[in-house]
Amino acid sequence: MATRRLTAFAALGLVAAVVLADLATSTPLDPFRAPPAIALGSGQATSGAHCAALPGR
Amino acid sequence: MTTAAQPATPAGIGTRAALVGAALALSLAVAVFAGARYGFLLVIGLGFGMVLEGLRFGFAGPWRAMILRREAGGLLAQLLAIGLVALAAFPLLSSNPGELTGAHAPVGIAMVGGAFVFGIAMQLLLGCGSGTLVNAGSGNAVSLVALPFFAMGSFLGASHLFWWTDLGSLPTLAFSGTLGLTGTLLALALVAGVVWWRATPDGRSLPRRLVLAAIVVAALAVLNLVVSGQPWGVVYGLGLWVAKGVALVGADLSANPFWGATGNVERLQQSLLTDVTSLTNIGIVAGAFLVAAWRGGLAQPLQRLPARAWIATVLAGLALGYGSRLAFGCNVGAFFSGISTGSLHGWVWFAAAFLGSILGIRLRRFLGFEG
Repeated sequence: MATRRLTAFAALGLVAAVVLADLATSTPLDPFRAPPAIALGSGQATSGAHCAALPGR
Repeated sequence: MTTAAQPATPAGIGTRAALVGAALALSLAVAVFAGARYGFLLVIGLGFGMVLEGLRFGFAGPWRAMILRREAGGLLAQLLAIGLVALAAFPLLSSNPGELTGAHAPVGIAMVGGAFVFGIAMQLLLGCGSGTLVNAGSGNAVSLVALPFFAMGSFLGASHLFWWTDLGSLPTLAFSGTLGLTGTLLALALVAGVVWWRATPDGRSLPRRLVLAAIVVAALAVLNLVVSGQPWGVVYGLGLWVAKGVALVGADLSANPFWGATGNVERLQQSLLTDVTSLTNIGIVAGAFLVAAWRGGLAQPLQRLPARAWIATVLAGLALGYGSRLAFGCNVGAFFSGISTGSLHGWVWFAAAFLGSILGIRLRRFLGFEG
């Protein structure tokens, strides 16, 4: 009988596939251009995107 | 989340060490190759996944328990966690407006409708925004099937978002400062009082497990805000995953008002390992997997459902994503983070999604999810 092991590994595999496909096609990672480790106290504006944010037109 | 229907055999010490080692190695690799902030965010996401699965802190289940059985513990724990985050977030946002932002969004016709639809869908799936990720990571087949459609719904909802907001929205209203914090805490206390009053005498207790979970979830949410500069969110990242896939197969998203906006174009070009909500989402799935494997929950058999329930799962997954985009967030981005950072839309989301949940619970049996 199939168990949750099958579906849990499938979930991990799904996420891993998304990340690997993205790594192959996105701008290469560059830790030397990364923002400071912590936003608070960095003096930089937030650069991330959030579900509550509506972009300007 | 993993049910406790069958006694589980916890994993051995070697397996547990391998699980923790793999999680730490993954986080370290992201920190080294992408940047320290992104490694931190993956660790925070792992923490969310571990506490949500490990201490069974959720959103859809407690709302169901309150509506069906008048058991208030889970909902009271949510309100406690939101209040704890507000205590830290309000002063942080007021004193660091350039570095930190709240989950502030306008109340509108589509926002209310989206939250209502989300409430229906989260009861059909018994998984909300965070819950679907947690449940998929711990091997729940319904959530695993729903997850890709949740992401597709999020992408489509974002693609159509401006059309929906043009139907009518109020200006964004966010409470801030000492007055805003006091009002938010009083409103949370008032809601908690009503919930406590409506609960059965046996359903009014707040178990120690949920108090601990609320404190840890709140601490992680504040850390998320401090490290990333924005509150905890889920839905944006899922829509981004699909948008990247759509762009990869040749679709041009530059003409779309949402995906063609400057910030989103940048997100589409950059790695998911530099996107805040993607990292915490990945961490939630992995953290839930880790806890489920740790305590032997993966040995449980998969549930069997009729075909109409699987069709409903697909449609509910799409509705979960689409509705949450129109509502400017799910139970995390709108309800949890919206209220805890002072946004009026978080309160409106709560009311609309709760009404949707009442309908969703009634639909579950009809669609073959129960009995």
